[in-house]
Amino acid sequence: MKTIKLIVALIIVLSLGAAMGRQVSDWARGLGSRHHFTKNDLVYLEPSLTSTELVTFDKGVSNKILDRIKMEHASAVVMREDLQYIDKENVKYFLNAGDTYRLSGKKSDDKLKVNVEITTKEGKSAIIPVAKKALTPVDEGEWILVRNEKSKEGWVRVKSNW
Amino acid sequence: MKINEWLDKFFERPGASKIVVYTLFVGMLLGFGLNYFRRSPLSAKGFEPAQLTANLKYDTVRAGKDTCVVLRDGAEMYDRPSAMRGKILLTLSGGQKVDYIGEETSLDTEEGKGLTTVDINRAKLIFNGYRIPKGTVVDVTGFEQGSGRYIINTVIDGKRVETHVRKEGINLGYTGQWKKVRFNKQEGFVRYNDLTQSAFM
Repeated sequence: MKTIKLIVALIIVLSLGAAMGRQVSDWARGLGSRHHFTKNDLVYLEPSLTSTELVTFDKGVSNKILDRIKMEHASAVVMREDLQYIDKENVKYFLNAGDTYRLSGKKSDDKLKVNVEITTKEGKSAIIPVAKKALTPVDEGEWILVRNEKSKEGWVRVKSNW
Repeated sequence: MKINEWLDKFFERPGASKIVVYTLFVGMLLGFGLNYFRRSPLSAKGFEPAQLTANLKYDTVRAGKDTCVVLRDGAEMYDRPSAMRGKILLTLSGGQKVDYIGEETSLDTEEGKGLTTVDINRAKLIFNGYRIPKGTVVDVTGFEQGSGRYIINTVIDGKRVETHVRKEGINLGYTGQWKKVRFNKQEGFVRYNDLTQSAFM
């Protein structure tokens, strides 16, 4: 009977310790604190610009931070504005605002530009250098998962090295 | 009574308090480690960066060239927008397609001018003869249908002279607009009206 009492107590203590440890790690990651939305914050279902945008979050209200994810390099981009590019062969490419394109692994010599992989409507592939300011990275930077007072959860990008 | 003594007494086992403390510590380490390292690079919700765009559907791009069609056989493509001083790079056939680059204003600015491409010597029996050197800019005043010669006049040694010259002997100026084009990886200039309006295709 004494042993059973001790084992039960140890299981409870172990669980309690695990919960405390988890809480400490959350603090270490900055979770559990609160995020105050600004006017420009966009909230998504997933930590990606191409995910569904959630409009149920009020701006100017603080929300509890539940999760955090950091992504070093973008693999896709969204055009911020229309762009026309003419290559050496005089071929014109029309990249439209809001469209999504894959980022090439081949780095641009110009630090202010990135190489974008495109496929034409006829199925031809090409790599086009585009100014970074004309693009928004889809999956780059630091994102946090927040929960509002109505228990709705969504991801918001809080930091970007773009 | 200290808490360790109370725990030993509660569990009726000496050293039970130490076991409880160690267990609590082990629990904390487990909780911290599992929670902290499990989330890297995954988030607590299980999002992996590489998977976020794995099934992304990318948009396609409209691409093509502005193209003109040659309207007549023998349309010349020059190395510069000048029929007087430009060099003919090639002669195009009607129906051929060329890449349109843009429009250019002619370097030939004066109407009714021409540039001689040969030396023109005129010897006269009674009066002194004269010579119009190759490369002289002359006034072109007419064209004789019968002989197929242009009527030109210019000033030689203070005297205005008029003579006739074969088509091959003169480059007529062209003051209209030019189209800059590319054909077979070569860029050049074609008279505006020798080509159709450019179309994206």
